[in-house]
Amino acid sequence: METITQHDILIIGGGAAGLRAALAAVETNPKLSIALISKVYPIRSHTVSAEGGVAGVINPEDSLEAHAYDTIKGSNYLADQDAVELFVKKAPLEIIQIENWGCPWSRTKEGKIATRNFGGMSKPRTAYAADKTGFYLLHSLFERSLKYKQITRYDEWFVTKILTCENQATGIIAIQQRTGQIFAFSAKAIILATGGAGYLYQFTTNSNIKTGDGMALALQAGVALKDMEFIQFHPTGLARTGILITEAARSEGGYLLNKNNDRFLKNYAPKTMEMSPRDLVSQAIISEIKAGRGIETPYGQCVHLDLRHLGESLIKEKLPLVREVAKTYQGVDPVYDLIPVRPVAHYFMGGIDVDLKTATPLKGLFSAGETACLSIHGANRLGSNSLAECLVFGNIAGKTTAKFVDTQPQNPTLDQTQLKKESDRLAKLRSVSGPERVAPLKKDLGEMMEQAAGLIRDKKNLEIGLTKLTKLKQRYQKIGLSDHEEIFNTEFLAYLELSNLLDVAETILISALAREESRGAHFRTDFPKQNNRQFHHHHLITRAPDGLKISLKPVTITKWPLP
Amino acid sequence: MATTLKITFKIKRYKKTADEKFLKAPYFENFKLEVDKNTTVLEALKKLKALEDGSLTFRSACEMGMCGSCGMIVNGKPVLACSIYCHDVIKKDKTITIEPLQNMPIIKDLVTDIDDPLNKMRSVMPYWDQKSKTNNEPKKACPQTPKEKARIDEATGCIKCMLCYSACPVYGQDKNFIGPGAGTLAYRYEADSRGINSTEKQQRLDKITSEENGIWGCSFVGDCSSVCPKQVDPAKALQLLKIKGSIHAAIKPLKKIFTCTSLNSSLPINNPTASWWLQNKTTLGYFLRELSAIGITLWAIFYVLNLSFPPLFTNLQSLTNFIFWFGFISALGHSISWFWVGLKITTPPSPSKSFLFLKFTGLISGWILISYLLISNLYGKF
Ligand SMILES: Cc1cc2nc3c(=O)[nH]c(=O)nc-3n(C[C@H](O)[C@H](O)[C@H](O)COP(=O)(O)OP(=O)(O)OC[C@H]3O[C@@H](n4cnc5c(N)ncnc54)[C@H](O)[C@@H]3O)c2cc1C
Ligand code: SF4
Ligand code: FES
Repeated sequence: METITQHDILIIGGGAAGLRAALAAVETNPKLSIALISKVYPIRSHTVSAEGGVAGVINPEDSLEAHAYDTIKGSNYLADQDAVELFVKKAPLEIIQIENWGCPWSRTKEGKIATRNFGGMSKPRTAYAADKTGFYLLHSLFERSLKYKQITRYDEWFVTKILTCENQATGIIAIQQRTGQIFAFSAKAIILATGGAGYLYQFTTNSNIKTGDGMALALQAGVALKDMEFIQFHPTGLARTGILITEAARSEGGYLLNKNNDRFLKNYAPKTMEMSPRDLVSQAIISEIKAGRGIETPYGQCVHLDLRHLGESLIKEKLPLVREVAKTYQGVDPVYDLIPVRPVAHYFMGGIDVDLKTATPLKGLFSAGETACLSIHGANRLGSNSLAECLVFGNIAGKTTAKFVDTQPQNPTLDQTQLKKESDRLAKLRSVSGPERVAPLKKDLGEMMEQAAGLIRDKKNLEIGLTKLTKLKQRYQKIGLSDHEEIFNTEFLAYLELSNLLDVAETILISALAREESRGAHFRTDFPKQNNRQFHHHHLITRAPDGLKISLKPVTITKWPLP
Repeated sequence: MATTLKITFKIKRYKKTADEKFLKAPYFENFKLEVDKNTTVLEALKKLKALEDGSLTFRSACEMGMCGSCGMIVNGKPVLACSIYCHDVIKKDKTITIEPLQNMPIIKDLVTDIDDPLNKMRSVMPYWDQKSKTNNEPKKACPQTPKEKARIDEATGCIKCMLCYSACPVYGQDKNFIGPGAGTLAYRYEADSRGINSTEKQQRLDKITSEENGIWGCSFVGDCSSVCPKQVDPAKALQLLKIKGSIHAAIKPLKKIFTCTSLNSSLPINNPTASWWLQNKTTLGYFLRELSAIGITLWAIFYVLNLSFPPLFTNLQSLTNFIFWFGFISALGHSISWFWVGLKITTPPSPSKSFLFLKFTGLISGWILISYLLISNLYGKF
């Protein structure tokens, strides 16, 4: 690790947020040298799986006020309202910017960008590209990024540590997967855009790359994580695999049916029915199942999603991917069959605590996308707000860092002892031996999280979860690797990722235990009511020498007081 | 209860040490695994990695056929491992053979190096900048009707999984060929109703119509389209691109004649001087080329008029002779200056010398043939 690679800005993560940040930075100041580091090729990032759309006020009959209000109401008043106002103002500009770069948005007959309804949104304001919005968006951003020579891509490089010096982030350590070599990077600014940690759960829409690396890295670097207890469970995951059936299926007119073929949501939300916010729909499904009105399948209790009345041509035009995945992965054709679905872990509302400019308290460290928490989603995200968030705050992160590096005369020097310590640590971990294996441990962790911090929680189960976690951590120490090669050692990476998952799991359990109320995605059977008097605040979690420490942060209110 | 089958997976393994020395040539290793009918090939690999051999290496991410990570060759066919089921591809002897993608270097086991295809995709400049009149004009969405969008619906579906590169026999032979994926991407930006006025459009067409690294290598085998998991039809995109490319190549010289401003990129576009052709040898070459074209035109008009009955100038033998030689020399001069100018062009894309020479000989033979036909028509065979 003799040579240290220097760049002005390091962007960790090549999803929507990371790519948008890179483009914003290079267009703000074309003289900058920017590194885009990602553990998979950017086009493989999990943004590719997003289906439904991107929210933004682009219709004349819609208003920014309405979008802001819907978001805040959906968040159970836990969103910071200054952040939401900024967000709704910028979101439409982003949709147009991406259009200008070539994104093939679905269109109305007149050629305007088409919008659809989405849960919790009072107007149709979700722009979409069929039901593969994330895919089209990610590829448009990626193709655009190919224009700029200033952006150096480090594809399949895995970041293991953020280096710090005197309360400033100075660089990172990363493993080049292709060679297995360890490299140090120094930079004036670092942006973490590493996505969520949904892989923590056993039944999830998230792929094996969503392991909360950025959150764990930030936590280790001394930065706080915010609102980690809020994890969104999407109501409609395919029963067997957890692959997402987008909310667009319901917004195009799909019904949710119980065993008796009843649209059961009439008993929970008669006004908004299937288009209610996700926390509500998911909890309604669980209640139905508990009441014995679920459908028995080999994969557990489910409910049915009915799209048959929509007709083949609509499904073909607007929901092609739903049909494709339902056929391939569940063996049902939505044109003729009911789709068995059940709630599935999906999205992290919480994340790295950042301000409106995406800066963390650690100088030189910024964060955007799912891994960051401003917060605009509060206790429950409205569908299609998160891709918009990636774009809006990715852009802001890029611009902010481009300006920030101007104030830094030169790259900071790296602390050699930290460098040495990290490379020694990695060298040691590479050759660990022991009786435990990575995959079964991950499976046990996933099951523990489903039980302790799933859709329905209580004190007892959370505490059991914490005890189990301690045991899992002990077992982690006994893991042995069977691959000792340097080149493309995926087992070694999974081992490092598992450590990050364990760290993130602990923050979730602790925050969930501390929030003795039910709010949005956080539902406690022992405290089923929302308690604004005691709990209308964010939870911050930081690392202290004696374990994790929890502290409170007030929610910013501007125009919309608590009802 | 789902029925299970015990399947033998024959997996190609390959490892090299960090100092790039081969440990072994690729070899096959057999694994046995009980799988039910809901197990995809990728899930089977994951199980093998978890239970049998942690060093078994492959890429995966989305597990829903969207990210393009898990391309590999299963029973001889390039596929996305997450999108096919073991029970559907099993051979009679209850085996499934799994190999890495072809036509690209192997990094380890089933992981291949896709950088070359990806760089080819970059080389077609998959982006554009609309020329806007003023900079501070607020950004507007460019209208596009569903019908206009439908033209690019197939091509935009490409997930860059590179299966088509593995299947393409031409790319296998000649790594200079731009390949199906990059061709599709070029077509996607060419056929889009937006981005019409972008500067990249011309450069992209120039690039893909130049002989090296261009589209002409495609011999329409069509394997790319048959393996594409997203029904993108890269073969079709390439053929459509060939048509676009030919039109572009044909129109370009005409455009140059009519807009003398674009004759040479070194010319000050808004301020062409009267003696622009004396600027350097290349501009002189252009000048001679266009001048000789005028000679040819006169020659052609003269002959066309003379073809009428009765011929116009039959009694003016000497004039006919003169015009014939004038025309013939113009034609020769035009061909030579064409060739010469072609050699001088250094701005990308510079066509290769062999390509230019081929064009040159073609042109000369063409002229001689036409002259012969016309002369024999006028004076009878000699
Ligand atoms: C199935 C599904 C459907 C969805 N649908 C919608 C929708 O319709 N609308 C909507 O608004 N939102 C949707 N979402 C949410 C949305 O897709 C995500 O919030 C968003 O894509 C996150 O983008 P990101 O850029 O923050 O992270 P990601 O796209 O997850 O990218 C993370 C990047 O970080 C890199 N990385 C991570 N760790 C490391 C490391 N240690 N070293 C180096 N690189 C690293 C990865 O390689 C990757 O490039 C959906 C999510 C899922 C899972
Ligand atoms: S054209 Fe098809 S096979 Fe080729 S990279 Fe794109 S999606 Fe894959
Ligand atoms: S894992 Fe993403 S395409 Fe197969």
